Amino acid sequence: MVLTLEINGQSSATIRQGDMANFEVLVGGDPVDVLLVDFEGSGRWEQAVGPVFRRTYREPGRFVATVRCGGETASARVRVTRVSVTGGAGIF
Amino acid sequence: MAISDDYFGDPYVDTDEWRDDGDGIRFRYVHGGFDGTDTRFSFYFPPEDVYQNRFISWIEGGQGGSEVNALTGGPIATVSTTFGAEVGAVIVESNQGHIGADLAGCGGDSSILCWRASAESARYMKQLATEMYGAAPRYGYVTGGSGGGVRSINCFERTDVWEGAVPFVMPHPGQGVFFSFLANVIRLLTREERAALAARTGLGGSGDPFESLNGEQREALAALYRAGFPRGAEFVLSNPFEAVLVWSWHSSELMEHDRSYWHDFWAVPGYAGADRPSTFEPFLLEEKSRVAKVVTAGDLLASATEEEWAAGGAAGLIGRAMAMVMPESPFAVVVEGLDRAALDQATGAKVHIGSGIGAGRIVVCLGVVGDALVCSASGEAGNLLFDEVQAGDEVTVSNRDFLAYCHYHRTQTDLDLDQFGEHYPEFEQQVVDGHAVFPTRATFGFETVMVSSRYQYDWAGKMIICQNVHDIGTWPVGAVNYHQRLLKLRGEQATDRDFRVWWFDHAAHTPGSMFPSVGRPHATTRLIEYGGAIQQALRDVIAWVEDDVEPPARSQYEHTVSGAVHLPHQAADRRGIQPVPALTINGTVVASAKTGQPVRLDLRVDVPHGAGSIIAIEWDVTGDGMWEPEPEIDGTKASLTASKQHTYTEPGTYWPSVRVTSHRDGLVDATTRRVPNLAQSRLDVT
Repeated sequence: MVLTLEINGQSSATIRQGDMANFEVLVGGDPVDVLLVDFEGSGRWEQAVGPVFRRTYREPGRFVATVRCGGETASARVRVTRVSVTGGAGIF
Repeated sequence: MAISDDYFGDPYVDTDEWRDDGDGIRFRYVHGGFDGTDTRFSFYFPPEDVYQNRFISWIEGGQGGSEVNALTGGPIATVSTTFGAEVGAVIVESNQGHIGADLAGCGGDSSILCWRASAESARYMKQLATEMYGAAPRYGYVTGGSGGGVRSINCFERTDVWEGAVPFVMPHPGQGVFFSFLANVIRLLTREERAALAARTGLGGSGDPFESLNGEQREALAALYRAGFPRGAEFVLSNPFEAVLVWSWHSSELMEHDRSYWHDFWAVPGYAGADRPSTFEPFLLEEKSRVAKVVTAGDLLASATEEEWAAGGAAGLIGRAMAMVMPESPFAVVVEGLDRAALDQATGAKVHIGSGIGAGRIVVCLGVVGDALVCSASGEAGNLLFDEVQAGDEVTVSNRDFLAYCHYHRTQTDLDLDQFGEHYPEFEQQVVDGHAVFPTRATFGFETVMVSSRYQYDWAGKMIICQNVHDIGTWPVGAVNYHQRLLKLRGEQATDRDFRVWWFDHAAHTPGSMFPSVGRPHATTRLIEYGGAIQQALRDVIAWVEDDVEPPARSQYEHTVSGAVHLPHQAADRRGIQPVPALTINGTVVASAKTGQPVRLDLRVDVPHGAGSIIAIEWDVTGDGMWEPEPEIDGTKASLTASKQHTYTEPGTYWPSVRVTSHRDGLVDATTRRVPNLAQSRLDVT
């Protein structure tokens, strides 16, 4: 049984700062309901209710999201690109 | 499922929590967006015991792109959580359909940016408000400045979501082209020549703006005035940001709109670049080099002096404001081998990254702070700026397109007519007897950001426009145009029944405190903080809509055939809501004195009828920006006189100034709705 993690339908994705990423976890093609997830590779594990869940990335950078379920782990890479506020934010 | 507009998918919420704004104001913060779009929103719900059945939509200026203005609070901070609590309103804002500088989320449909994303966000807020308060807010208001001024009008004219509107510093329909007029003057006049222009047109000057300028400079400045550039605002040209900032947003779109102009300008007779190439040689910058260093906004904030910011033009004013909001952003670059002469021509230049991860990215130099080129752009490049660019990456810096842009206004002759077949007087100078003076190009309406080019002048509800007299970004003629067309379409009585335009003297596009300032007179002695005036206008619109309480009368003004807007000198004649002070030194506005000789400053100030009373008088006897309050101002009087005696011990030129503040309810400790004005004199001490 292979645990897989997809982000926006792929094994890796590029999103923008503030975007919400969609995750999907499968084991041998079957959904997994409850698991642990570390969204940024920071070692901070939190409980997620699967198989589909979402998370907003608020800081730019390159991250590896990892899920753990039944002793198995799976990862997906996410690049979060910067959003600058040259349009007027904070001024008007 | 969409709330109302099928463009938008299901709403989602990724933050829903109670917060404290740090000043003891509690609010429920909801952040989210609409599936399948780039639209994001923020809602700020006051507690039920504070809520008064209304909401205010805040429309961010510029291009929009952020949904957290009320949260972060800008220098104007008109619609803060504090103000929302004061008026019991839910504050609503959206990123207007796109993320940061990248407009792709609007799919090329400007209606998303200009009103639909804001309207759909407000509609979804009403659903959540119904769950929270038991009913949706009965009344809605929309407000915003500059680009947000245009789009708050677009929202008001084209939907039925809002009952009242307070657009401020609103653009003229031909606004986009005004920036080209302005860019040419900024290019042709050095910083020192602009300072001399300000001196000639300021107190004690000759009054002749053209004196000592060469022929090319005179032509450019005359064209700028005829287009409506505000008289008396020449001193603001010391820190112009508007033209270059807008060029940074529109350059890629403009080049796509008219792909051959940028070649024709330099090659086809009839265009300045082809006709007189030698006159451009001193201004031309084309350098291929390498990145020496990428500089973050925070680095520059920590290292740059006030003098360097003041010399930075658009980078000094708007760049510094951006830096404060996003200190982590890599928004500037030092380029190897650019000497001071090259740096002096870098404003408006395109900075093209030629290698490395950022290869292909093109951004625009807003100005130079120290030796760092502070940049901005639209599209993904504008979001990324110099993210992941490394020292050693190839870079090309060229102002060739900017020089062509400085003459682009000459090609836009169709703008002399509006949709009713009426002439815009600001553009009549470009057409003689039906013939365009210069080669004409297809009209560029800047419509991605501003559907403004075609205001409808038709709406139901109440509107108060607040326009600033010393605004070199969105000129007074923007409000004149809107008001005059309303008068033609509705007549005077019907116009006054639902509409006001209020002028604010000594007010620029941004508050005076944002201007880098070195030496005398300090920027805050010439330019006010105007956010309180917008708050009062919002309160007046609310009372007008909900209780039929008429606000104070519209401001009176004269619009001359040469494009100037003049206000009456007396408060009783000027009207509106701003106090009108007059300051004299020994009985005159421009005076001289000897060191050690006592000098008497006399103030008279009047608040227009129905606009409240005076809550503060502050003196700055030198013009250095150091304010001293006049004691015992109790907020009970609408007219006051005051005097101050001072002895100057050092020779020099001084700019004695007084700042007066009024408040509708005379509350001397008020933190909102403060309406200031300034008066200044000149004193030469020998």
